[in-house]
Amino acid sequence: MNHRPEQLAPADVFYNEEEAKKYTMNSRMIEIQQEITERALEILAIPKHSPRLLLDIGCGSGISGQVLSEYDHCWVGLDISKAMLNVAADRDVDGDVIHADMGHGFGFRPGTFDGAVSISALQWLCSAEMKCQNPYKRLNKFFSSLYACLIKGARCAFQFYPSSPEQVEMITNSAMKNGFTGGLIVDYPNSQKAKKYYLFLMAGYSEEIMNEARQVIMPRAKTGDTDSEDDSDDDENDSDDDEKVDIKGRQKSKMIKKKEKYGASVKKFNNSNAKSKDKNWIMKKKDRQRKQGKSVCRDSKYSGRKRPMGFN
Amino acid sequence: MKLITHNILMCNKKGCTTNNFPLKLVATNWKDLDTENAQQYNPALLQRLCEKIEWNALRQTVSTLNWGVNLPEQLSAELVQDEAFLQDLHLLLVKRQIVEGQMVCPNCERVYEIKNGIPNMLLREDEV
Repeated sequence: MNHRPEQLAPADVFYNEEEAKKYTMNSRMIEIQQEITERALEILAIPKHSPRLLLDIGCGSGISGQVLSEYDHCWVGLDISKAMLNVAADRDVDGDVIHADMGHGFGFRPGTFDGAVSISALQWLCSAEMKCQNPYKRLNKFFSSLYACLIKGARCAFQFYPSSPEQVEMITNSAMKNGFTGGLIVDYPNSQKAKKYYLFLMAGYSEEIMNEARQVIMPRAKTGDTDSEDDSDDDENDSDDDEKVDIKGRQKSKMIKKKEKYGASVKKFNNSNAKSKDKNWIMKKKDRQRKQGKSVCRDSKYSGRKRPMGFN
Repeated sequence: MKLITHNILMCNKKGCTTNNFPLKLVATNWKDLDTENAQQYNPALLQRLCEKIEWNALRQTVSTLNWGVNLPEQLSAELVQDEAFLQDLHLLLVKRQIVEGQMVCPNCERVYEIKNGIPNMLLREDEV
């Protein structure tokens, strides 16, 4: 099955009434969307208790908007799917929604919005749905009109699902061409599932906004590591050592396999296999999973400890 | 659609670049949202919005709507601090929802319909 809706049909066709209803009823979907929106707000780095006027591109049924409202922001959202917007209207979301296509550019008064977010929408711009549509032109139009309607120094956080590295390049190139600065933030890069791409953009430079967001000039990606920075260097060294050991271990087992092939004892091979699940192995696995953003039990003196003989 | 959004929207049609703001608003049906459903009254937010509003455009629009709302000619610094004024503005900008109506570009006379509270700003491919 194809898991990428943008390759199946245009957004206004794909998100019909049924799909819109499904989307808004799915609690897992809502949870993920809310989580992403909160992360996007973190990237925008707006100080507490200072409500702003934000733009939500691809707002859908207003799940992301609800989070913005919780933080007291006023927002205007736009989406191309009428069915999704109707759901938003029925749910009485706090913000205002507009039926529009982001690839056509925005008809907003210049210099109005304090920032923009977009949750899982940008990838739709990369595919042409009609013969007359050119993704490059649409991206250009999108970023140039976005730049115009933002205030100077405004920050944007766009989460999206690129289908290839070329797509990322296509989007970032277009943004840079239209005067934005910023970059790509990849959260949980080690995990297939939790990995999230955020395009972080700044429209020009403003002293005031820079001061507000002092600590997050270029937001750091989340890796799931809870260690402080000082420890990280040591960790790197450790992991390097581990890797070396790993390679040695692999070579060993290869050799053993070879030996086995040529009639060496099978016993030796079994022994090395049993050894592999020792404390070291467990710690390494936990570390790996932590980096993937999974919830992992904390390490204690009991983790990976040998059981008393009776249980073996 | 709320008036704050109307105050931001311009005609986006190809070639329509001058005199395309504000769009002429005709409201055939509107309602005031309940306090639970609408954005909460927040003086800090309204002060922020006041910095962004095109005051003349808002005054002009409100006067054509016949809502019986009288806005002062100028937005002064004292008014922005006035609690009662901000309350009124909150009702006007954020709480009042235009459910049915239309907006017409003063320049190219393109009509944008408002249905179910959602303005349709979608352009045809030949208008981009």
